[in-house]
Amino acid sequence: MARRLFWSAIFATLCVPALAPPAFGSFHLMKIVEVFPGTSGSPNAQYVMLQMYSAGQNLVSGHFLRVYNATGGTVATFTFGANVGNGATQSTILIATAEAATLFGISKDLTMTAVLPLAGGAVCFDAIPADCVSWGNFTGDGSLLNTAGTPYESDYGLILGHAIRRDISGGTFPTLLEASDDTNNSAADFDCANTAMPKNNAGSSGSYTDGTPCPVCGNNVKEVGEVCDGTDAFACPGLCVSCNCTVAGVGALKVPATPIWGLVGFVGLVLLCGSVLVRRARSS
Amino acid sequence: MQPVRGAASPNMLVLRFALAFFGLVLLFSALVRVDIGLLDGVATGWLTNHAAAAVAAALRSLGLPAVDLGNQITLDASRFEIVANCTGIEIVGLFVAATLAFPSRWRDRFKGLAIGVPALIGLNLIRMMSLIYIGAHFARALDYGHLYVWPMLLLAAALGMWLAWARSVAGGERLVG
Repeated sequence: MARRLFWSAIFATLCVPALAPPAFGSFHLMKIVEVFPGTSGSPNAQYVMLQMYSAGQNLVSGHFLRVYNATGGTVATFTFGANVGNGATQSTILIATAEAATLFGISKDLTMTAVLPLAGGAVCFDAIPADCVSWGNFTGDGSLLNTAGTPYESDYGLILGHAIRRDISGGTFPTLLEASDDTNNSAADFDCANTAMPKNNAGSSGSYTDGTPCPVCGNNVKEVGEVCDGTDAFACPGLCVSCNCTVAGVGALKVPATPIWGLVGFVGLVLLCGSVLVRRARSS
Repeated sequence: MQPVRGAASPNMLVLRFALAFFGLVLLFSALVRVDIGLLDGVATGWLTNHAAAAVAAALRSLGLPAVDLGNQITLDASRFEIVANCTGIEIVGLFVAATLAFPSRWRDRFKGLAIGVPALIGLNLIRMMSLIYIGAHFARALDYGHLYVWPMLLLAAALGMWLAWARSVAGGERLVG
């Protein structure tokens, strides 16, 4: 009997925790999956969306989202005052401004103010380990709760009207968020999304599609957010790298060259008019 | 002034003009490329540095806080780099080539260059000043200004000046060849 009790105790100690659902009733199996900087018409309609990749991650009371500026200084911290109700795996938590709630017509789970820096910054959620995403000309990775790796779109950062969204197509389940969808490298983990799709913890969702598509660096078309692109020599003659000019200094621009159509037109008109003048003078 | 008439047929004269024009354009392009590629931009570098200094001085004379350093100009929070093309070197080169190639007397050619080249350089100075001001204060309008408005204005000015000169030469029956 004593031996049976002994082995039962051993089993209970070692095996029962292993059979239980992972981290049930917690907050940390969660990732930042979408960041939206507002639109040109509603620049304060910003949000950050978290998503659980395991059940029971709704105990977020006291935990926070922190926003950083381009050098890693804290801009603002938004702390949950209560848990959220829905702890189903893959459910989301929406941290949004009042303007975003109005724009998308859904309620938010935590209110933030419009403080996302467009040109460069980062946000972190204090999961375990903390999850962070950085973008643009962000240089303060050492100040974050956890590394965000290379910033997303280091040349132009966040673009009004376009969300950045975590790519969840890798891993075992291409349509579900998994731990492996986070490589701690924002440039690799996030993509530009033409349609912003916030969804709150209750499951209500909204959407916004901007009139201009996400820019594609390297397609030789100067698109929204790009200073130049590939062979777009007018904006940066010979010096367009990663869709920006290579001149040192923030906001550097180049005075452009004369476009090729102008030069060809000039040569053509000189030849045409010169010929007419010569013929006229000789025939008179 | 005694008109100078040559014996060449109009077709031959036109052909000579076209060949001389293309030849001078190619020679001019080659000189620029040799300077940039082999001589590390000695000539074009000198040109861009002086253009930047001139533009910054002109902006300062208007009360704007422009600062030049080498071939760069900073105005408020924006920095601009003056590259060879910005100096008007292309348009001046084309004007010079067209003027030298036209079958006229050397005296007329030099007269055309003496008026046309400084005028184009002055107009390009105004172009750079305005683009830098627009870039610093109305960045969204910069593309429109530099891709459409100023190229049209500069090319139209160069073409207009050359045509006026060529007409005066041809009309005065001072063609040579």
